[in-house]
Amino acid sequence: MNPRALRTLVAYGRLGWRRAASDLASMLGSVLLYWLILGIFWGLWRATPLAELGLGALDQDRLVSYLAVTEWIAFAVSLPYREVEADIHSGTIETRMLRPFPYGLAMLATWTGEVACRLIVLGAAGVLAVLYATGSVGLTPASAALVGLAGALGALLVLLWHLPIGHAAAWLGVSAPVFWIWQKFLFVLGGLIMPLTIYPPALGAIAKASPFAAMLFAPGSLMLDGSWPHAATVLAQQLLWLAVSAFAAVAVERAAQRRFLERGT
Amino acid sequence: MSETAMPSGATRSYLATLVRLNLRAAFARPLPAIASAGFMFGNNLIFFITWVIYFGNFSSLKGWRIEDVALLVGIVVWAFGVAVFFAGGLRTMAQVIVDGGLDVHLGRPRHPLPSLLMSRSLPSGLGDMASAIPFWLWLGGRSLGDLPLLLLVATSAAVILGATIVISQCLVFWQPRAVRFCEQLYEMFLMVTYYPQHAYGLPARILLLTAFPAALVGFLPVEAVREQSPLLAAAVVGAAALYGALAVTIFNLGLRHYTSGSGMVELR
Repeated sequence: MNPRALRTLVAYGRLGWRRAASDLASMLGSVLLYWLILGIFWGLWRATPLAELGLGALDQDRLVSYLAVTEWIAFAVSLPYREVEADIHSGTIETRMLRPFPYGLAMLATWTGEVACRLIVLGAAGVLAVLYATGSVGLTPASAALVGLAGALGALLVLLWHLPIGHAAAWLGVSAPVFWIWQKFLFVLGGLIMPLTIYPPALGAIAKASPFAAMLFAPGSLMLDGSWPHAATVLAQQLLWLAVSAFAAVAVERAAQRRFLERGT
Repeated sequence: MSETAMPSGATRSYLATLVRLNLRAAFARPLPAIASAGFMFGNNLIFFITWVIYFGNFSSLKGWRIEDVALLVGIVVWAFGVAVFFAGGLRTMAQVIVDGGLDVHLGRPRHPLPSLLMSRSLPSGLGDMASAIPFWLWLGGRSLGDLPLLLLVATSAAVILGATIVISQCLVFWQPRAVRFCEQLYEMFLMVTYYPQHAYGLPARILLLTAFPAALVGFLPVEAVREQSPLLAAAVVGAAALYGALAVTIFNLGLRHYTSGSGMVELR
């Protein structure tokens, strides 16, 4: 990538950061929602007979810490696909396609800036919540940095999927239905609420082989196993899926653009 | 302005016309509408896998089994589906008020609330309503004989859900900058209704049965069906009437503020 393109990407990223940082009410609302869901599950896990798991290692505190990471990523990303959908509905995408910078890349850079800002704020909120609920975060500075890195890569991976989901409006007229299904697969196969390690073996294996596990379960699992070999596996898995997802996002965007050129929005 | 001043037949005919026009608009583009409904149906069933996994690991959640959670999810999705399908304007009510879109409804010779709420219909609500049936009859293990009671309490829950959203969205009459906050209150409310509320402590349960009535949408209707209790069912129906009346009262108060002149200036 040439320096000029890189500067453009950074400029889009800063734009996104400023957009998120200036919307304080929305940020506050996200923090409250995040705390609320952690509170709901703190109550539910307390009411759950966890001893039936028989693993010993999974207690209420560890499950809440795991959930704090997976929900941190889910809340930080929010619903960016709506922007692509709105651009298609309004026809704005046609003018944006004329710009000398790829539409998808510009969107992704803007979203990355926004999500980076939210990851920091929600991350701080998550640490406070876990401290309040369990009395300790249970991470060394090095393992906290790893969770941060894996969380950021997970969020980037989720963002990459929002591009093709938004572009689905080119064919279906709406993106939301595709998003609902995709999101539920993310929740179930990504292990949003429960670690994949307690799934039935067959479903657990399918989930672990899916890209969704790299988005949520992989970073969350670092709260359950902070060893270096596990961390290396997590990062390698995320990088692999980032490459595959980027390829898929570019392919879908090109197909959508061909459709716009042939039929309009 | 008053609904009660109108003959009930005329009111019914007016509401039926609003519903008919709404449906026509919602299905003006059939493919996206059918896709929305179909995908929402799948969406609800897929997310339930989480509970299947949960109950695969644990015998119960404070006395509730998977059938009880299925009953809860079915009631909540039915309530939400009815609300957004017949009164899709709920979702955007605060934004419409702040944008001055309420003026359109004020110019009509009827109370503005029904036309505001029924100004749009979300076809995904049909998918929600359809998915309630497998939740009740298949996953919840209920029989066809339970359907009348289920429909009664779940539809009452829809009224409570709609009324609570109206009340929260009315906040913008006094605080026009709170649109995003209203949206987040809406999301919070839905989030809490979806999970079993009996697992929390007493103070939380009291809150969920009063000021933040998620338990009136989820927990209480489920208990009415589980216990086959006419008393609890009557409590749900009564709560629907009470919250409905409260929503209309608060909306009217807000409307007075809106039409007072200073409110208009502030909102614009």
